[in-house]
Amino acid sequence: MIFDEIYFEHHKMVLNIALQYVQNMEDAEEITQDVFIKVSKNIHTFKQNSSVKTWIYRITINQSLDFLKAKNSKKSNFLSSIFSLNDIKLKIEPTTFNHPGIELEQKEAYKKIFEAINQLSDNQKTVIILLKIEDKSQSETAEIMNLSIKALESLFQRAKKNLDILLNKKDNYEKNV
Amino acid sequence: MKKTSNINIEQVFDHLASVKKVEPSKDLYFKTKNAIKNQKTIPLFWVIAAACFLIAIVGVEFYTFSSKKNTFNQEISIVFPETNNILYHE
Repeated sequence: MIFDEIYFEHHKMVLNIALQYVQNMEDAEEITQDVFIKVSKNIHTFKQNSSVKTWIYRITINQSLDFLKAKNSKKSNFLSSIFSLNDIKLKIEPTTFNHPGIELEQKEAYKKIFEAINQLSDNQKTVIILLKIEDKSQSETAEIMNLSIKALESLFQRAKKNLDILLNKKDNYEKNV
Repeated sequence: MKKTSNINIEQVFDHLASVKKVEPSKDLYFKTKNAIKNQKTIPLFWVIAAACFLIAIVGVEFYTFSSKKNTFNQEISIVFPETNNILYHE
């Protein structure tokens, strides 16, 4: 398969998924580039055990999570070198919230929701993004995440519960949404 | 109390579903293509740089070794002048 064909078929999907993880356009574009660099490197070794789309979804999710970890480890190294905060676990979340898919007047409300999502574990975050933002079906999400439907359902219930707890901790949440 | 909390989370999901899809910028393709191109040229660049560095080190080593050898020979010849082992009055 030709690279350009794959790029133009999937670049919008890749950018939008990355955007749900990092919530700003610059970082999402950087992730998109990295995803397609990986695709171009591995395109010849790709075994068609899954569809190209599922393969690209997986690369995008892993790349986005790695990007966030790298960004936060840089931040935590810098902070710990200044304040000697070696044992303090820093929250993994993007530095700037500038999601272009959200209207300006609703920005504050969405910022709070995404702050809560960012505090979930990697799998819980991914299940919320795929099912509720990207509107993927359960079977598609299960295939992308390499889980059974049952495992996916239980993961989603845990994610929902944790998100509820995180959001209800915030006093202003109900006023803003 | 729990019911109110559940309604809230469903409202949150409704809000998340209304997040708009974003169109990628047109130059993202060219940026990506350039990034792929640069990925391929960087290793070649480093290979050439490493080869030049090695050649330079070997050259410097060879030069210093040969110049040391010359000065050592000169010093030896001053301390022990060479004789040709020929008897003049044979």
